[in-house]
Amino acid sequence: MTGNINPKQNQGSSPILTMDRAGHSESLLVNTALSSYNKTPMRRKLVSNLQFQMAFGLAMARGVIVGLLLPGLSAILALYLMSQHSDLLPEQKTILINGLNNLVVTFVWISLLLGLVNGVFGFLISQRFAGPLTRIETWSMQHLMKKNPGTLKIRDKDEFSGVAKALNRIVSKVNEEDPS
Amino acid sequence: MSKSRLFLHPVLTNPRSRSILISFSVTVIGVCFVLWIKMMGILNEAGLSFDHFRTLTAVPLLKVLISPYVVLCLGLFSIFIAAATTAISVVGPVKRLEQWLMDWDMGYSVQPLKSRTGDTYDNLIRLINDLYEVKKKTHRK
Repeated sequence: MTGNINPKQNQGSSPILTMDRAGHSESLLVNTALSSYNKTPMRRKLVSNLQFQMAFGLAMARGVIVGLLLPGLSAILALYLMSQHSDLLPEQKTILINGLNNLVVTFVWISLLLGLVNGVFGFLISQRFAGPLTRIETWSMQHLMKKNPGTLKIRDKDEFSGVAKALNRIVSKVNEEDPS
Repeated sequence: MSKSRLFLHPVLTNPRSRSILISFSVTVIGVCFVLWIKMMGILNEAGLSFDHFRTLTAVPLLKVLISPYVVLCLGLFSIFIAAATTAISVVGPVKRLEQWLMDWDMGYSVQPLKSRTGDTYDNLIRLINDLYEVKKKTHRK
């Protein structure tokens, strides 16, 4: 799981980090913000890590659709079984079958709409994860490059505050043991 | 570490997971209510009611499906499954990472973190593992 991080200087002042791991090579472009990590204010941006936020939003959308599937399918199945009942008059069966079709369409639309709404909601709340995640990644990279990035600062309200506190404790403990 | 692997752990102990559970509860209960009202409307239009099917010698499955207790249990079960699967994928890895770092901090023997399929924190996990390896080497010296 370990990799080598080789800092290279780009044409400008932006350094490029190349990470080789288990035969696969990945390139991470880290902009000048990396060198001025400590000066970067913790501003909340709507989109700070698009791929991560999309995955987060999709997880929320998937969740709500999973939640609606079972009640929806049971309602559809119940109405279908009712419409097939032998004691019903033909007119009643027709009404139930038409109603069943309407119910299916309504359910599909409601599921899609709520999935979309929850996906957007998930995308919006994911910034509480995405910002700190990027910060911890940048901080870890700086540590690996042996550039002392100082204390990792994350808001207490953010999801990664526990991770940040643990990382700070570990790094300060290791540095005390071996100041070099 | 073992605690965070429990299926229900992320939903019950994390505030963010609880908010997911609450939002899903509101959504699913709302949709169940709409479906129930719509079904009642269809049955009324046909001059029928749920009681009509409960008293008839109906298919046993139908009797089960229209039982209010079953509907309630089904709704609660769906809410819980939906919230748990979502919380596991969005909050679970963070809690797992936190627990792993605490174990490392406490000096327990830890293995490099493994990235699970579908984890959205692959890059972070790789970096933390690299940091762990570097710090472990420093500690050995």
